Amino acid sequence: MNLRRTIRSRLRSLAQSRAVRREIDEELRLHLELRTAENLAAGMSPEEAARAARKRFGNLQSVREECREKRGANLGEATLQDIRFGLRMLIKRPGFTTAIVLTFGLGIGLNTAVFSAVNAVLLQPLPYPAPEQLVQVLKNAQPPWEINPEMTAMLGVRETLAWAEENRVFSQIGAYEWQGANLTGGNEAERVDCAKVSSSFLSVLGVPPMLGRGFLPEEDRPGGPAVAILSHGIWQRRFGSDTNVLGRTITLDAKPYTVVGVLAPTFHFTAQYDLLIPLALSQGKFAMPRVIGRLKSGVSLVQARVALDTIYQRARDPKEKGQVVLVGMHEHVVAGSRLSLLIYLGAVSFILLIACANVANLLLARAAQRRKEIAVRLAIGAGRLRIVRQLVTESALLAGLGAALGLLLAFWGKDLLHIFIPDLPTLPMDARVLAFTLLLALFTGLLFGLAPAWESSRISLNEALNEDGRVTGTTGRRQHRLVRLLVLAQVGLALVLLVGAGLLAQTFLRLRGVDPGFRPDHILSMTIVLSEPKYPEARSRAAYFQHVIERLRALSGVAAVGANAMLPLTQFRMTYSGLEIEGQTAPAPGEYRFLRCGIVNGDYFRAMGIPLKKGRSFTDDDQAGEPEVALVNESFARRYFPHADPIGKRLGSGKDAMTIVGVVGDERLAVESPAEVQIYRCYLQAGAGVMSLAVRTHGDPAKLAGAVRSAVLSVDRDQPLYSLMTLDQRLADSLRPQRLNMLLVGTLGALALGLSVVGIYGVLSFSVARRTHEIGVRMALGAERGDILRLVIGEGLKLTLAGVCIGVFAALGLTRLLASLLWGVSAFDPATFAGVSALLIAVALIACWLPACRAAKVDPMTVLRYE
Amino acid sequence: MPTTLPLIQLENIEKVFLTDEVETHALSGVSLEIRHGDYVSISGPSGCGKSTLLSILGLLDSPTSGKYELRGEPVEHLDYAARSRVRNREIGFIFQSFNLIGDLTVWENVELPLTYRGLTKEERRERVDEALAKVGMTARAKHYPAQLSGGQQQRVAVARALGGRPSILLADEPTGNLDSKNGDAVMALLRELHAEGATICLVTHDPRYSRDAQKTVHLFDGQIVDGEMPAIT
Ligand SMILES: Nc1ncnc2c1ncn2[C@@H]1O[C@H](COP(=O)(O)OP(=O)(O)O)[C@@H](O)[C@H]1O
Ligand SMILES: [Mg+2]
Repeated sequence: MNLRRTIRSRLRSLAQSRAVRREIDEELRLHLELRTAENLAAGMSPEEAARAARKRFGNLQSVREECREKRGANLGEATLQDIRFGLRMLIKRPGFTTAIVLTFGLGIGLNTAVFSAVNAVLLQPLPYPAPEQLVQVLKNAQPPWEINPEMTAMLGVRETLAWAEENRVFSQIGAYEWQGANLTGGNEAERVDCAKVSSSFLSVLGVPPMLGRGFLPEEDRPGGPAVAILSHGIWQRRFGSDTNVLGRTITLDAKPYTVVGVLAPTFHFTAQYDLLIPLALSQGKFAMPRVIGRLKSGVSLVQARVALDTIYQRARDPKEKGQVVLVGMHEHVVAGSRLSLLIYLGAVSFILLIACANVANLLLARAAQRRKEIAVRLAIGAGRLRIVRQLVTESALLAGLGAALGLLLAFWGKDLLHIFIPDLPTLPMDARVLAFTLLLALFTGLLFGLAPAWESSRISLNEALNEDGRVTGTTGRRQHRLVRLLVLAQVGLALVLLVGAGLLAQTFLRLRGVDPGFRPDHILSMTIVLSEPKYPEARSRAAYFQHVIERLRALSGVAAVGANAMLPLTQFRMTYSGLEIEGQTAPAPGEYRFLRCGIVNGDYFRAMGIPLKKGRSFTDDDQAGEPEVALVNESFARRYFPHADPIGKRLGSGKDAMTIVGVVGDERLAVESPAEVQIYRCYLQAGAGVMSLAVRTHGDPAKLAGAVRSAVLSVDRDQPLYSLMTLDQRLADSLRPQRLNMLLVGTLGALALGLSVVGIYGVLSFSVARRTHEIGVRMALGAERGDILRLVIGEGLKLTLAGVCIGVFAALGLTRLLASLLWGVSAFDPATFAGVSALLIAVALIACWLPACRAAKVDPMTVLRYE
Repeated sequence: MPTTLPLIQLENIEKVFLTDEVETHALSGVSLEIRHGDYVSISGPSGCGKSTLLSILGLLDSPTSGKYELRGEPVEHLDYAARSRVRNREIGFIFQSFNLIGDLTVWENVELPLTYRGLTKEERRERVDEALAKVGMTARAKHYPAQLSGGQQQRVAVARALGGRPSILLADEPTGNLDSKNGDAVMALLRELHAEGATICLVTHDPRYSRDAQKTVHLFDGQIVDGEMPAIT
């Protein structure tokens, strides 16, 4: 009896050791093959190579014995062996290897792509010499200025001139101002962006022109010679890169300018400018310049601020209040995009962590499979360190392959990013990006290879070698705990990302759902900036617009044509700061009462679909010289005449006073800001050189664009129109940042969800496989299928719920970072939190279903067969 | 109890396993009657169909043909869920590899089959305590299986089988993984349980243990044969 048992246990251990011997033999054979291949490469014949290799190893039997000593051999060689062996192992398991390399590659690729954007936008120094010395001078406006944000930070001529004269903190100081202009001559008139700059501007930046020269001080004076410097872009595009362009004359707003220089292609300032022309600031002439300076060495930002503020407080308009603020040029340039970029980087780093958790889970699952092999290796004398090193080498190889794939993906991903964010600069794959990728791969490879490796090397030899199923479920319990922990973290991270995506989506959807007060569909819009020298008087301007409106109206497919100097969704704003309103006390001195004023022409309200609520609209009788009339919007009526009828009330005083003749519905100037208190004047009485047209069409407005353009140009061929686009397009453009945030973070959230589902599925599959026997026992004891389904799904659900809890807490901490990107939804929006949690749980349940079904199919008979 | 009605009545049981192209006739024409309070031992060489017979008796598997009546009710064609339920109520299993669940304590292991039956916590506690007391493992209730010796684990497994107060205890080579001292102890325990009235069906190929039984069934090549089998060593 005892004998039989002994034989059986012998047989069992034989079977075990046979498997082990196979492993060791295989390893030896690999070494032998490698050695043979080396010999072949060294020029030996095949037989010679094999013989030499065998000689080198002696016969296999004695090698087996030597294995131990060999393992203590010098580190470099051992590492090389580890790498070779690791590579062979990876090639032998293509499915496993592919899954891990793809997962790693995805995570690293995404991070590299986004980091290359962060690198290009946030980390790259500005393309000027000693860029850290450059500062932007701003003015921090204090109340009452804050109610009118776009007027803050606007500097006046007085202080700019005072600084230029008196400053001791800047080695150089310069000023610039944007100006749009019509460039004519040649075949077509073109709207261009000019920077009016002081003569010192280019030398403050430290970038001389590529051709010709910068402006001279005498050119930067009122009445000085009209000269211009071309950007590299326009020089190529419009002047065919002609080096003889210097000295040529170009026509800007019907005024001749002499070209004196061409900028280098690398020149890049805060915005894209086509041309530079002199600023020519002078006392008493209105301008709103922006000021930059180059700090003297040794002067700090704080010292400079104090010095400039002192000058400002002396020089400023006494009615004005404010304080000087200095911001490093780099900071000034990147401040707008930093938050979004960092959020994207954070989001992709979450993806990487989630992906890495999946990789670690795969490694752990495999380590569990290799448990016995590892135990035997340990038993025959391999040190723990040696085992860890072998396993870490394998995961480092995986990470390396993943990084290579990641770089490749990032290379394509960059183009994808450009599609998402068109105004990104080119993203160079420079040393910093490569170093980032390398570090990332190293870090993740180590972090997520070391844990499984360490865990596997910690197995109890006794337990692993004597496992025969007398007790089920202890196998790899600790590893399993680690796996569950990783899945927990995954779910948490995915939840945070999804909550972020949810909040950003809500923001976009709410903004899109806003009723702007007008009907943006079927409207074609454009802006015309009349050339001042060509249309110097109100009469000729009015005639021009009259013609344009008539020609447009005559087009077939056009329903209504109107114009507004302050068309919603354009950047133009007209503001009264102290208009008298009948029955209202005037604001105190130094205080302001801001009032938006639209100047409208043609059938503006009909074209835009803005309803007339009361009284009448403008008519052809409201001519220049007739009594001045105005319309007000509902906000105005509510604010200033809550209990009275605004019609008949007067605005302004004296002979210019206007009578309110009607009330129209509110229109939002921008989707994200509520309708403002606003009045409308009629074009013939108010006049304006800049008008935006709104053409309501019967059919698709985009199809009419060509006809509209020629109709406008047929009035005056030299008068360009610009930003011709549908109002829907403008609306979409104005929501582009929000749409982008939603799409990017949403895509990443979906990816995170997918990866976590894979994680949950993986951990449960692993768990079911590990517990097959236990499940069989439970079934033998009378558990029904439902009990088993509940058991497995319950395990998955518990994990998911715990992950969701952690995620909710993490999200509560992190979404506040998003707050400034959100609109109409709180960073703690309970509906989003609940919805996202429910989504995650539902998807997790689906992921649990398959392993649970597999578990329910376990045959309870396994219990009897398990030996 | 009515002595006329056997607890288990097998009639002409066939079991055929189909594994790619090969038909294995694990049992053919097996008829067997087990009465309340019986102690039946099944013996025979390895592969003769002992475990298969036990799994059919324990409703882990259904016969290819033949009749199986438990307490006079035919059970051979019960569906999966019904078999689980009958198994849970009527059968107590003791396995060669004790099959305790490593993640559960001794107490929880014994409680497990009771939880599938929907007993109240109070009832469960009473039964678990009683079963553990019967096998002398009360002191180890909070231990995990891995912390016990093989003999102790098998005693816990016996307690688990007893807890449900089954009609019959089925044991498949319960001493197979134990040394002779521990094996003897487990067999003594079964003897004691039988003396107290338990119905037991034991698979063993140790003739010493067969002798405890009132009735010995010899299986050879899936068929019941009469007379003593030659001892196999
Ligand atoms: N699930 C199965 N599939 C195929 N053949 C099986 C299966 N279970 C048992 N067998 C075969 O049935 C015969 C009896 O097996 P078993 O009852 O386990 O024998 P014993 O327990 O007496 O050693 C053996 O030949 C075995 O190979
Ligand atoms: Mg058997």
